[in-house]
Amino acid sequence: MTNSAISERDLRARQRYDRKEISVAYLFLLPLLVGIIIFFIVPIVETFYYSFTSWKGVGVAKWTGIANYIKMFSKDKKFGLEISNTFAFVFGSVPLTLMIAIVIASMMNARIKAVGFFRVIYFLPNVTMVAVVVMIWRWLLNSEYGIVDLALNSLFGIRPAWMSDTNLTMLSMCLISVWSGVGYCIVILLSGLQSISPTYYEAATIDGANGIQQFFKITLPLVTPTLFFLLVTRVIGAFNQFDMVYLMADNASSGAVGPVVNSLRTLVFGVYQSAFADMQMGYACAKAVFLFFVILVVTVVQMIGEKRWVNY
Amino acid sequence: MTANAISRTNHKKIQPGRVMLYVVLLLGVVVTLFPFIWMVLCSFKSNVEVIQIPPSFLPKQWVADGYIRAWERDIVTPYLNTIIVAVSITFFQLATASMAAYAFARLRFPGRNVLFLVVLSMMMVPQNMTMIPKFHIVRALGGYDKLIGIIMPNFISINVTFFIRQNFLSFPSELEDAAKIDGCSHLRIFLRILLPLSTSILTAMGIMVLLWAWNDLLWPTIIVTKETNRTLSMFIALCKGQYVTDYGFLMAASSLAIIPMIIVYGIFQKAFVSSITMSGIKG
Repeated sequence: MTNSAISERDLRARQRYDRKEISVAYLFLLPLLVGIIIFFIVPIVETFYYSFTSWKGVGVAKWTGIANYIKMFSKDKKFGLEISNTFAFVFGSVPLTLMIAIVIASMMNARIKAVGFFRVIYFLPNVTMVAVVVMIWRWLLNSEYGIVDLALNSLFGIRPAWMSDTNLTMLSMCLISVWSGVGYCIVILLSGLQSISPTYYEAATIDGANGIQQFFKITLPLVTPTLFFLLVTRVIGAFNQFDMVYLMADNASSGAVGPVVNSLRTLVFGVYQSAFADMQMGYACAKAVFLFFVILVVTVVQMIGEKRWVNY
Repeated sequence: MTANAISRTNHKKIQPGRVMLYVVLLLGVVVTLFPFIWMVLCSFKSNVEVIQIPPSFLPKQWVADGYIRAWERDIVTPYLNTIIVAVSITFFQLATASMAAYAFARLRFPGRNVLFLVVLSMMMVPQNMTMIPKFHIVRALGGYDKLIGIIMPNFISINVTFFIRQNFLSFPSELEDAAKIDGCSHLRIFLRILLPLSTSILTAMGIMVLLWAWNDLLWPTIIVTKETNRTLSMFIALCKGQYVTDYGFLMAASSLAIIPMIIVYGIFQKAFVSSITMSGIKG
């Protein structure tokens, strides 16, 4: 390759760009890029940096090396609870949500009437703010006047204290999360199901396969890509769930007492508490970094596992 | 309509499987709707009736006491705050995202692909992770304890940029060629040709953002403490601690807080569903 050839190619490449177009492009990109620098890149770098300091939110951050991380794993008992509660919430809410959603969605896909009606209703909790969702359920599950409590008491004679018995609080939160999350998953799964060609079902029917066989042999395998997408995003969402924990465990909003708080506190809630209640900004950043890597590892593991069960 | 469908099927041949299908689906409807219905019914009960055992299903006497107390406890301020915040966030996100999407999809400039990858990679970072530095940045910019502080870090969105760019990419390049021959500027092409052609995606995205901004709790909780600057989510959340046992009021305030989004959902149902499935198809 000769020198002139290169320069000629460079010249052509340069000619492809129009000067005015370049300046217009950057002008149009300016707001987004400014926002990304100020509210994405700088905070990410700072979170990592502060996690190695004893920063209290004011004054100069003092470098303390990995002291925050050591404290997290050796001294902080709450941190252990935060990890186990986070995983309890993820495992308690996501699989159940997806299971119910796939059953309902495939029923809706069985050429029934009024699919639109069902979809509108099922999606309703998803447009409702979590603050209200938790408010309604606190009232339904209220251990004195709640209608669910009264119904359970008259039917089975049991009165579980859903919101204050620390054996039940996490279960309550998972169930509320399932109730509010199912509709979203149904809508997405339904669009995935509708792309499955009806000829599969026709052939199966001719061969004498019943509805349940068709579900396991056709529906489930063919919807795995959608299911996988939902699994990954819902798991990330569950790791990041703050509103629900805050509403059920924060003193300001729920008046929850120590044991209840401890039975519900998750990593995100721990970050919030360390930062804005204890004013341990550096320590909170270390928790945030830990959370980031937990989510990253869990997501990568799911991506690796994808090949085993997802059909494309 | 559903009952009709069942009876018609029954008329031809009784299919127990199909009847079961409807029974299960209707059961799901009851489980989904009952909490909402109960909330609204309780909001119209008097303070005595709401905690009566056994409870009455319909209020014996329909009273608006809960709503009056919501008015007295000034639900109007958080209402207006939420409208201001949610509408501004939606407007800014759509504006900045469609501008950036135009540059990424329709303009040629050096570094375009690298820049786009950098922008996309930001999707991987959970927003909750960076809340602490973000809090200090917004405070340094003078947004602490103000509505503008709630809006500030949310004036851009990577997701929305991504989806609008996808939409812009789908248009043929002849679109601009003709306009350029006529001497149209880039701004004119963007405003007069691309945006009008993209109303459906803009609506879908706008609704997605509006809903999120209306319901968000974490960021407003962090950045605002003053009572007059609270959003509805915060109002509802903090009500619980303040008026623990006033269930008539709590249910009335909750009903009021979700009505606007339910109305928006009712009107733009199709856009809602398409915004949801759009994000689902990505995977």
